[in-house]
Amino acid sequence: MQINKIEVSELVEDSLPEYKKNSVNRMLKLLIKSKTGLIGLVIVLIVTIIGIFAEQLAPFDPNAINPMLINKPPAWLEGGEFAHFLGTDNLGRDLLSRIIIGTKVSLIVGVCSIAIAGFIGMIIGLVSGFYGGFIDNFFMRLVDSFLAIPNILFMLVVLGVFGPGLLTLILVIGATQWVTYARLVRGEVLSIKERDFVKASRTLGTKDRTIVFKHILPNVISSFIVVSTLSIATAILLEASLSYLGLGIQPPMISWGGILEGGRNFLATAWWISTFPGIAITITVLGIIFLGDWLRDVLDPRLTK
Amino acid sequence: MNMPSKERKQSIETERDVLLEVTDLKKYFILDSGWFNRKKEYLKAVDGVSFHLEKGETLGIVGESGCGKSTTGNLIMNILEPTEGSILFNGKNLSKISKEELREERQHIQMIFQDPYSSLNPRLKVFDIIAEPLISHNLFKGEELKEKVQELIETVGLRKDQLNRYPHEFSGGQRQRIGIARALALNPKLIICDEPVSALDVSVQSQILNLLARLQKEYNLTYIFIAHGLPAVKHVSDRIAVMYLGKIVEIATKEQIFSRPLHPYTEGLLAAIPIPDPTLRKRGNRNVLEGDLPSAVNPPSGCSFHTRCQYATQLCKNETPKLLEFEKGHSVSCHYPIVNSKGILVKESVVN
Repeated sequence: MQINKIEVSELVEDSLPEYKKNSVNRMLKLLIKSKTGLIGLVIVLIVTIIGIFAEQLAPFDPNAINPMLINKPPAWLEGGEFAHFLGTDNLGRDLLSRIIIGTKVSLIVGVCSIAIAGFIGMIIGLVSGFYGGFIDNFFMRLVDSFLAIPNILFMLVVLGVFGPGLLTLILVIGATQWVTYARLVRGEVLSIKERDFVKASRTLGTKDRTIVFKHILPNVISSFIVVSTLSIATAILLEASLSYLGLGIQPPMISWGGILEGGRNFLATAWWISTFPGIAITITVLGIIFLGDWLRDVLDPRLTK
Repeated sequence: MNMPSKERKQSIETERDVLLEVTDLKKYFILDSGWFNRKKEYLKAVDGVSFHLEKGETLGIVGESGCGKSTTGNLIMNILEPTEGSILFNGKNLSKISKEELREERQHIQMIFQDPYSSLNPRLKVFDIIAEPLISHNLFKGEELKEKVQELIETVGLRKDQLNRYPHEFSGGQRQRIGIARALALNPKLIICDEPVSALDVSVQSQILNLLARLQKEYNLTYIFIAHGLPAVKHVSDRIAVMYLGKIVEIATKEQIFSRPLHPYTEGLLAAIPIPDPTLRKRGNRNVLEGDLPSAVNPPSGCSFHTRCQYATQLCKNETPKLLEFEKGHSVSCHYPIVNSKGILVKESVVN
């Protein structure tokens, strides 16, 4: 019974080759116009590069313990050394090197867990909102039950059973965060579904799958992106809390959250241990949010001038 | 899958040249009264509507907001499933065929929407909007598709180079033209126009109406024209159906409706048409309707119009009048049809 096998996107691209070029031009134009977007992109690029080349960039071995250099303040304070620019921690390890190495894990955890959460949430939200009825009820009750479980408790149990590790951490954060997306996407789908252009699409005889991907998804994506960028921050911070509880990233591996929580006991005497990874988190999250704002604008054709 | 009966029906329909036959159509929406409330309540949006439509004609459906006219349109479009009744399009019962067959059948019935701002996806270019039906039914590809879309946009009076723009760059009238081009793309037989001009400026309204009239001639289209007032359908319709609370109260040719309304509600609608000349305004003895449409959840007993009808009697409260043919092509559902503007017909009720 399946008659048309040709994908819609293929046809459109065939018929309009100038189509793609236009959108790339538009993206660049919008990027140059929006200063926050540019700042966001630069920050995210720098952080990503640091993450990728962390080993080469770190001036010292981040795990080298030196009893002579315990709690050295940053270079610009009295007693600080230029070599250890951001100071050292309670075991005499170079803080700058640790933050650079920690970039990798924090970014991976933040981005991957939100990618997983977003993917699951998006699919469930779309299906739930579009088909409604029993499927909708089923998924929404599932969401409710997930919301009823305290996040940290759930994570502790799972990490306790499966043992801490990078992959488990990512999965466990993803598994708790998808709920937000499912609800958000479902709500958006419910409102978009009632708009006339979706109704029009049905009357034209367009298939459900095409309606979802061509009409509903593009209209959901902007709020989705804004929420995901904000959630990356949450994920990085969740990783920090779990690391503090001893169930996150395990000691030889370094993450920002781990350094931050490790310095908590020394806030009065060596404030820099917790402060600098905190600043790193803040800058990264800000960059991602700025970039997300710009992305949202790019995806909305109404905002071109 | 019962081919013989389908063929038989088709042959009957072609003789009479009837494109659409709606019989006793009903749509009841179940009101969500919560988990613990056993009593189910229904909103009777459409409550027994019957009419037929011949090829090439335009039927205007008129009524207040909430009278079920748009629901009727959506039922014919098969966006909603009817609770009861049948819709025969070209002899096929659209609510009885499979999903895939229905998708094929949709080529022949198209719709133009009221709000040109929400009927076009803001994230698609005009090209993609007009091309969507052609791609969905796999009719054209590549260069041919491009040519067809260009032809369509020029048919509705826009330019080829506007295809590469987004809907927000167009005015309401232009957007409605895009919507019309999309509806035309599949070469439909029937187009349901759901208040296509009520969201537009007065000056643009006539342009769109003229365009629709031109297209009807060129493509031999049949229209169902839904509107909330009589003036909007006056110039386009051949026949007019007046709806009140989910029922057709009067259906007749345009001339009959305007010159000799039989139902008090139609009379009220005619009286509600503004008269541009102030000197003429006071002379007419105008029976402007008062009150609001009653709730469709608990419709009034008997004739649903009796709560607002100045001629209502005990009979109207007790018995529901049937839609009966009063003169040729002129049916009315009223116990005491009006014969002239001065008063009511003093004779035995139609039912007795």
